[in-house]
Amino acid sequence: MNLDFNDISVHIGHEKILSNISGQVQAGKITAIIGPNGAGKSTLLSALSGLRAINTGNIQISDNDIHAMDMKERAQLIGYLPQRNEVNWNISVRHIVALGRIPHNSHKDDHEKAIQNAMLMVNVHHLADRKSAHLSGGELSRVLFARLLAGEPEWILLDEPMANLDLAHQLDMAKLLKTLRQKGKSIIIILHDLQQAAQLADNIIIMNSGCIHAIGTTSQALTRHNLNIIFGVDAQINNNGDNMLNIGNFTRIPSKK
Amino acid sequence: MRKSILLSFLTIALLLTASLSMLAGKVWISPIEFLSGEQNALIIFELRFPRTLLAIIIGAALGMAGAAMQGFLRNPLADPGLFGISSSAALGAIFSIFLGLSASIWILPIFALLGAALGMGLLTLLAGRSGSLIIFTLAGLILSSLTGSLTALLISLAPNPFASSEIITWLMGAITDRSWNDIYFTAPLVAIGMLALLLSAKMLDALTLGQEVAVSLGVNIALLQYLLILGIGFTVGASVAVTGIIGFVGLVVPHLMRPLTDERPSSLLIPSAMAGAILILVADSIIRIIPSASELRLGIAMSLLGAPFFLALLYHMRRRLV
Repeated sequence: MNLDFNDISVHIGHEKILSNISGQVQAGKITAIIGPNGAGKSTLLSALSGLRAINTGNIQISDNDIHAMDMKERAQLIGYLPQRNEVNWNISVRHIVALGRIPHNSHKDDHEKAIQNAMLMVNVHHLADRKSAHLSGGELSRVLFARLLAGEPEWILLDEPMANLDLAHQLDMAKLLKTLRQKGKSIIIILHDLQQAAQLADNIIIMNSGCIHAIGTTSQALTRHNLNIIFGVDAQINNNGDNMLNIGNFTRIPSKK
Repeated sequence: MRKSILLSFLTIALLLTASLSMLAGKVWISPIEFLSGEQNALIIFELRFPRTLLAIIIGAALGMAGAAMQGFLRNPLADPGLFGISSSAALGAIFSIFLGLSASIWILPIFALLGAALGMGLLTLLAGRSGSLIIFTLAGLILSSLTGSLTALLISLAPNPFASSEIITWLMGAITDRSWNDIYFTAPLVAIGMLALLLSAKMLDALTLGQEVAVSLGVNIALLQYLLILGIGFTVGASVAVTGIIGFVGLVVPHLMRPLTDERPSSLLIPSAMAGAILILVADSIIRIIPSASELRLGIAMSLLGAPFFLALLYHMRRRLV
């Protein structure tokens, strides 16, 4: 059930945001998409979720074209969390999380179980009756992630989910993602923190100006050379075995003119 | 407030205001007379009863349309008038007066419905399938300004002063002297419209998290847009066809009901319909009680009520900002 994308492009006006990129995302793994600002990471993620129309190519999960799939079926298969936290009305946490059940026509008890489970997983069950206006930014991020989990999708696509979280909750989130992977979920996550990507991800896609610069296991993709040319930084990379990388001591390489 | 409590409270208020509307007027009818019938039977069954029913239907239609609009545009200040459908319906009605065809009881409402249908078609074409909020709002604005200017054109070109005065009076909106025929005409159309709006309830809830997330949850935005155009077209179009333009209800009622619900757009549809009916019943009863030579037009009364409401809202918002 891997996710394959072949020759996909996304144009906005005359600008090519993604240009003819191909690759494979392995099922049951955590795949991080990294790259500098404006590299096309979010566009790639929303294309892979089936939300964004693509101008060329196709995206398939086990031979099903996700853009041709029935919307409800796709919603059951793929959960997507955008970068921006948006909640328009002052509704309770429970009601927000319950929205994740919309794609499912199941029994009321199943809904309730999934909602409770999701709130427990991200540790927001104690906030269940709180209204969204009374949540902190970090709490809201977690509640919205619980909304995604309530849908019980096989594929979990996250656009910078760590952005609003303090360090403790970032670590909780990383732990939760690993637990989800253990349960067989496939996760694609956009990250800015390279250290985090190194420790969390099994596979990495490095994007740069709408193209894939490198794709592979974390130790294959996260090399000094790649960091040099894509991010303009130098770093110390230690391989602790078991595909566990440790990156640190970042220094800025002066740009050549 | 719990949903069942709110609905029971609204049901009681609706029954009370409906009774008030049956009894109130230039000729007061005491409850005892009402029960014994006979004497005022004509007033009750041919005038008061249809007027009360019409007030309920129109109020419910406008209240629910407003709640759905606000949910779709994710804006508590949205009003069904923004879609341009009420002004399209008004334009159709006015065109029949302009042509001198309004003497027949069916012609004007049918023209108004045709106007609403034309407006709905145009709105669908202009908005396209993108489901973009900005494009949709702009399409509605274009439609309202176009129909507004055509209305002004028809008034200025009216063949005689009577026609232009009739047009202006009609535009002010009223439910005076309505008969059972108006009920037979409006009720089924409003029912279809409200059904379409109720079908959109779940999708409106999903939109709470933004369009992107709603689509990722399997919501078909194009379908939602069609349902809303259909729903607003039938509720507002049919209302305008028999009463003229009555503003403010669709805007204020959802606003008042929201804090009493769990604030999900779907939870707001039924309470807004009931509260809309209550508001129109009360306003229309007050109009009848006020001693004046000629009755105040309902449309004007509602606008007069609207200004102080917004003043209060403004005052409240300013206090929160300071």
